[in-house]
Amino acid sequence: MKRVFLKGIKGGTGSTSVAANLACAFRKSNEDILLIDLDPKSDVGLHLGLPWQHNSGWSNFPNFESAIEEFFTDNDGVIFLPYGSNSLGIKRLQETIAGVSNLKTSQSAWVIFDCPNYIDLNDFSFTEQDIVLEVINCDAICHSLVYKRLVSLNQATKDWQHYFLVNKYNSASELESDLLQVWQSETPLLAPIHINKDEVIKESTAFKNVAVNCAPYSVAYDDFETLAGWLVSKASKND
Amino acid sequence: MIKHHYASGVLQQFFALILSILFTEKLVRFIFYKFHCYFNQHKMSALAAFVTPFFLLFVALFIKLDNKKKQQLKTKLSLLYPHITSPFGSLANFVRILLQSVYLITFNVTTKDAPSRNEHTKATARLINRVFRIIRYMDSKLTRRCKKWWLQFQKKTNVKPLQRVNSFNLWQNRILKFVFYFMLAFTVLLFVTVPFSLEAQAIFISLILIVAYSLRRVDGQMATITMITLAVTTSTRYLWWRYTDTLNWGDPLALTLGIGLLLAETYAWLVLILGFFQTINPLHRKPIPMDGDTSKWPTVDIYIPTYNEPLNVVKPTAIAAQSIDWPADKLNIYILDDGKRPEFAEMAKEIGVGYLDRPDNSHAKAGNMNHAMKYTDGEYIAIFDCDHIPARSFLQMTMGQFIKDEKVCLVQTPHHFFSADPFERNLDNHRQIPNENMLFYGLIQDGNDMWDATFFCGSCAVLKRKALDDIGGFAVETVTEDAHTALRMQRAGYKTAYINIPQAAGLATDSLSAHVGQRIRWARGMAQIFRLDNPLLGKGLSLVQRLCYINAMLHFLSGIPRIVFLTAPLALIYLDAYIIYAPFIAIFLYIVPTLMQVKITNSRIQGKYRYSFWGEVYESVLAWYILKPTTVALFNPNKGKFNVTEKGGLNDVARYDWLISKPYIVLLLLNVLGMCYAIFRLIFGDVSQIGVLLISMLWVSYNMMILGAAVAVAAEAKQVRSSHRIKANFPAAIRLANGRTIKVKITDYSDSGVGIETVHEHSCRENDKVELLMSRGKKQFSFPTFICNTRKRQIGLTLRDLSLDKQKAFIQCTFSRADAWLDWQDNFKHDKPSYSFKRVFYTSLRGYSNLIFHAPKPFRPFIIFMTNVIEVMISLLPKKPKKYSKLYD
Repeated sequence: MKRVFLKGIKGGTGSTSVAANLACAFRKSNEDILLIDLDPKSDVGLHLGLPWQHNSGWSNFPNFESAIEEFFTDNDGVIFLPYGSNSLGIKRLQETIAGVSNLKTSQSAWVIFDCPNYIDLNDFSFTEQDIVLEVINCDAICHSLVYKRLVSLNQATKDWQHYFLVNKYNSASELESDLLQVWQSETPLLAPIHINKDEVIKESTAFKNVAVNCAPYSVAYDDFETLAGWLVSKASKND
Repeated sequence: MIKHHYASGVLQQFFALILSILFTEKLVRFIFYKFHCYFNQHKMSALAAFVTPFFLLFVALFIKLDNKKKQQLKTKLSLLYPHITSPFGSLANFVRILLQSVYLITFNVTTKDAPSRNEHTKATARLINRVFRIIRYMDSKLTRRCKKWWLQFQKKTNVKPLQRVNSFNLWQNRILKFVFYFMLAFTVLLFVTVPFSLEAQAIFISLILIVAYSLRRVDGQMATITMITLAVTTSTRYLWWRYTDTLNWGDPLALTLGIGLLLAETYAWLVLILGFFQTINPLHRKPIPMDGDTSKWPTVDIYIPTYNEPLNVVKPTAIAAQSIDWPADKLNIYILDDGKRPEFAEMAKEIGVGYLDRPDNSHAKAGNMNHAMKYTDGEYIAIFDCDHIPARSFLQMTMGQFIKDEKVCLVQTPHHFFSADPFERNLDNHRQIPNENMLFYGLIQDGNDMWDATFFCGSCAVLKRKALDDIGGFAVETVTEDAHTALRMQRAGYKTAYINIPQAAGLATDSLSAHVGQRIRWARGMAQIFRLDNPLLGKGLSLVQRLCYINAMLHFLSGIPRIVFLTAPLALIYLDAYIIYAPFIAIFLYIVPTLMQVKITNSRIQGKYRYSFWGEVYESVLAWYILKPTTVALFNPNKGKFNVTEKGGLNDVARYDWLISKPYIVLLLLNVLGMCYAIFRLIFGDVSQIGVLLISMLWVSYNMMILGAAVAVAAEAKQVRSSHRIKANFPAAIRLANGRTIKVKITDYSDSGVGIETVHEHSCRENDKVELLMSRGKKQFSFPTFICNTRKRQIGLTLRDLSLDKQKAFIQCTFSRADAWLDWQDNFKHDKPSYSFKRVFYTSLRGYSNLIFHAPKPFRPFIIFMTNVIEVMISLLPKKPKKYSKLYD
């Protein structure tokens, strides 16, 4: 089981969209995929066709084992677990991650955790195979946050593979293209790919779906496919 | 009018009166009815309309003419005489009926749809088809067999015995070696000079042809070398035979002309042998990657010399030069402006490149670069003509050669042109037939490289400053400073290298006259070098280098020999001069197989770079024009000045360049008249001359074909785009105004627009604003564009008002991509002489029709008259009767 943790460096970077689209992109190449929502706003399901009225999730159950009923499968075969409506402490999060990791799945299955932006990664126990993708946007705030994060990562020893993933990149914006160029030339841990700003990502959520399904001829489709491919190459390097 | 009517009425009554004496009233009415019918409806002449009813009555005496019978007869006649036009009684129809009747009587043709006959033709067709298939099958089988035999043979022979001989003690003995070579030379001499009877020659030449034929498709260097050996043998034997057996010593006129032809043939033979030698083993040099440590890389200056080219041609080159992959602090770009234009200085400052001009313009391009060398100090100098846009990988591909071997002073890359040259444009075969350049850059330079004799071609090359300093800078004595400079560096002991990977692309000359002008300059320059710094003499060159240079120079002396070949057969036709004084059968046995053998061999060697017969066309176009400058330069090398080749122009209307094609039209007329005269002589002349006349006519018709193709080039096609579209195929994306993105494929681009193709039908409309997303390496760029045209899946985008940064980015994403010009040689299949012959033939026809179509005004009425006459003549000829189909039953 290969674990990918997706979190925004701040709110609103679009990490949930990335998680949902990435999951579907993996499905398209016939990988087994689990998508676990760890974010109390519990909106992963909205991308995958779950009605808004659906309120329950793993947080509404006393422990992970009892929440097994809450797993859904969407039309493409992405297995996902919504968060629910209870807000819970760090301990339950840790338990859920552990619980998912102990599920009997195939060796090659992927698990994507959609984490809230405020969690502290040091609270969780990672292995060297784990990949943490921190989603950032091309703006000055993220620039500062990235460097803050780099400092904190340098101070503590990290057990996981950490990458920054640029989302909503708009090359027409001078600031964004300049920032990206700066990051590409001097920021360590920047993923070599970025997700372009694309209206279809927004539009597809209006269809309760993901861009990978709605717009196969869009740049978004390519971006997520490349991202999935890159993750596969990272994971195979680990083996 | 009334009077006339009245008169005709009187006439009618008069005739009625006379007729009523002879015929019954019913018949008289019939005659008048028919007369009116024929006269008014069928528009016959009055006489014919009057006579025909009597004819009908006469016929009716023998045949019962009721309605049904009449209909049948009519149908039958219309089948037998299919080309009779509607006013029946014209003179032309009379001739037609006459001729057709004679034809119908003499040949047994039927209008019946005879199935047996049809079967017959089908069977014949099938038989022919089968024969062809069998021949093709045999051919392919034979070729495969030969390949197999050859491979087996090759497996058995290995190199070891040769090496052992080489290292054997006895072989080291100089005298023995000398004796061996002497004996070898003697044998060859014997082989070439031994006279053959006609039968022996027939057997000999057919044997050689069989070998050549069977080897032509066998892969491998050894097969090529064998074919070359055979071609050298036959052609040398042929030449020997020509010198010893075929000069007409009895007739001074024929002797003079014959010697002229013989000299031309000797020239052709020399060029052939040297060409074989030059290209026998092309060195396909591979680029050497640079060492990873960029701090040790040398500094490079890039010179972009310009004189009168427009700013929009030079700017992309300068920008692309800036984006070449090389440490920025070790790369300096200079625009060397001999036009001293302030806007160029401004542009250079704006984009951040150096700008150098000089007080005078002495020694043109070479002087310009020498001047620049004083003000710059890079260890290496890369030179790009101002329209050659370099790819980013240029220095990575070339610089490794210098690092590996410090004696290397020059690395040349091919000149590639993204626009069609005049030949390609006017003959409309861009990217279908290898152009004139291909042979040189695809094969000859690689061959030269094998012998360390790579030429410097003035652009797309890197030179070592130290080597240039050693020879005192670029050579200024001739108008082709490039070749002369390389020659001098080679004399000084430096090595040169050629890398056959296009790393820059430019504009081809845009009119035939400009193209010819450029070639005239090269020809003159080569002749100058030949006189001033003859590569055969002087120190420093190895024998093979000398031979390579001599071949290059000889190539430009082809003017006189080509014209001799184009006129030689006329000597016999007009002047009755036997310039090849030999029996018809001997001529046939020597010339035709030798030519075939040489053609097959050349087709094998040059197949991918030059198709058969096109070389003659290219040469013929230039022949007249390089004749004078080379001759003048040979006698007075210091005459003549450097003329700049014009590029980047427009032809807004299709026109015919009469001025430049004048010599060819004269030659063509000579040949056409010669052909007519030859036919006349064939019919009315001496019977004993038929053989030689036929051979001459064959030669004349070949010349007419080549000249026709040469004339076809002079019809300048329209050229409306001011910036050339370059074919491409790489992915990109667009973002529409509503924020959606679509993946696209870029199909072509120019400096002001892009053509793209979507996967599915799109919903874009004209004038929509879209963003074009292209990436270069990791970097992605976005360009604001407008849609200028849309079709199903294609969209044309125009770039408007790009900022300088965007312009740079655009050039980096398009022109200077490392893979931009890589598919250059892959488009062409190997030459097939028969196919190539067909192409040249059609081109030639096109040339003739061009001549008629573009004929000057005074000739127009004559041409229209002639075409009409020919049309009418053809319409008079008997036609095959129409077949009686089921429809009429």
